[in-house]
Amino acid sequence: MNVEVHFSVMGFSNCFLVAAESPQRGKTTESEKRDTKEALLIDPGIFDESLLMLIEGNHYEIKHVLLTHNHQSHVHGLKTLKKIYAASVYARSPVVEGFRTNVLKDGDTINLSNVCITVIEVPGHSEDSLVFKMENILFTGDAIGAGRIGNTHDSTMRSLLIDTLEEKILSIPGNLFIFPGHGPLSTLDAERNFNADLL
Amino acid sequence: MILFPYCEVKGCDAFALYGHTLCLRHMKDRDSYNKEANHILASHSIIENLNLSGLKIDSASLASKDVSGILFSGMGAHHVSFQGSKFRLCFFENSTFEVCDFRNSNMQYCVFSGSSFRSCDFSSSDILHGNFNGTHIVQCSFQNSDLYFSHFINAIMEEVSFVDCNLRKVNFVNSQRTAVNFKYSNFQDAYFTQESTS
Repeated sequence: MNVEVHFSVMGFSNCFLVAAESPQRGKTTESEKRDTKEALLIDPGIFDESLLMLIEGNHYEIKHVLLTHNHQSHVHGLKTLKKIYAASVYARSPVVEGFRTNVLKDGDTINLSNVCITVIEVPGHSEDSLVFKMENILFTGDAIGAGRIGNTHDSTMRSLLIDTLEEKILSIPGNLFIFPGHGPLSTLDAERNFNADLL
Repeated sequence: MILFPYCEVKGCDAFALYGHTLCLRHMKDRDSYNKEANHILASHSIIENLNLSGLKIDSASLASKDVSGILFSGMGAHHVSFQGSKFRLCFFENSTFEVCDFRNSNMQYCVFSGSSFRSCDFSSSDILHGNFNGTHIVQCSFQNSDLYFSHFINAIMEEVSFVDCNLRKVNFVNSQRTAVNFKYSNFQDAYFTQESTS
């Protein structure tokens, strides 16, 4: 599985490109260029030229879009993306930016473009917050980031978020990589040891 | 970043080291592995998608390298020059760096959480989205660096220079700072309390 990160200036968020196969750098012939590989995008906060170059420069075609939650800094690029790629959208919310989605719920396991994805609901930052587990990576959206948990509307939602993180995320055995919706990357062990909101 | 094959030991969920079928914990001949890994770093200018966890480097020059998607977890580096090198999506967590030269380096989305740094120089570097949470940083300089969106949460810093740095969105919540100098830096754009981040 190959993962690339793109920084979205819209909302200062991270967008991730995931593909089962590695990029085809150095391909030169027309037939090689046509041999695109399927990929999926997580949280297109913005769809700009640099994201397009990341996709096309590596000969990928976006087949699916996964949304960790329906906040502008994570979905704003969806409209532009849908004009370029006939990608299906997966989220907890049934409609995002006017597009009907394939609704995901806790415990779902789906296979998209040969990538196996486990869906974990982690409400608190928003009611529709999802974490996607793919192999040894957790794409956590705004549920948890490097050293922090997501912002919440009130103390009740904060308690819910912390309880859910402890129950469903921190309890996962081993040391998985954390690719959050904003800021630096991390690992599960680092969050167990240094997260300012969980200590 | 490409994920790696797992260690062949049943029940082990760690990644196998580059060129091997075992992870660092199950590797018996660590000396040979260390020599191989050092050779790879020294002999290539572009290094991608390898698990080089537990690597020990002493008195070496790894200047002007282009490194991406590498696992350097538990690394030990003493008197190593990384000057002018470019790192992207690299994991250096729980590593030890002593007298290392990172000047003019470019780091994007690199994780150093739980690591210790002593007498290291990051001057004039671009360190974007760096994770320095839980680090112990002593007598180090980040002078004239761009640290945009880097985190130093729960870090312990002693005699550290952040003079003339870009500290936009840099997070120092719960850090302990002794003789840390923010002169000429936009520290008002950084976060020092949990309240300031919400």
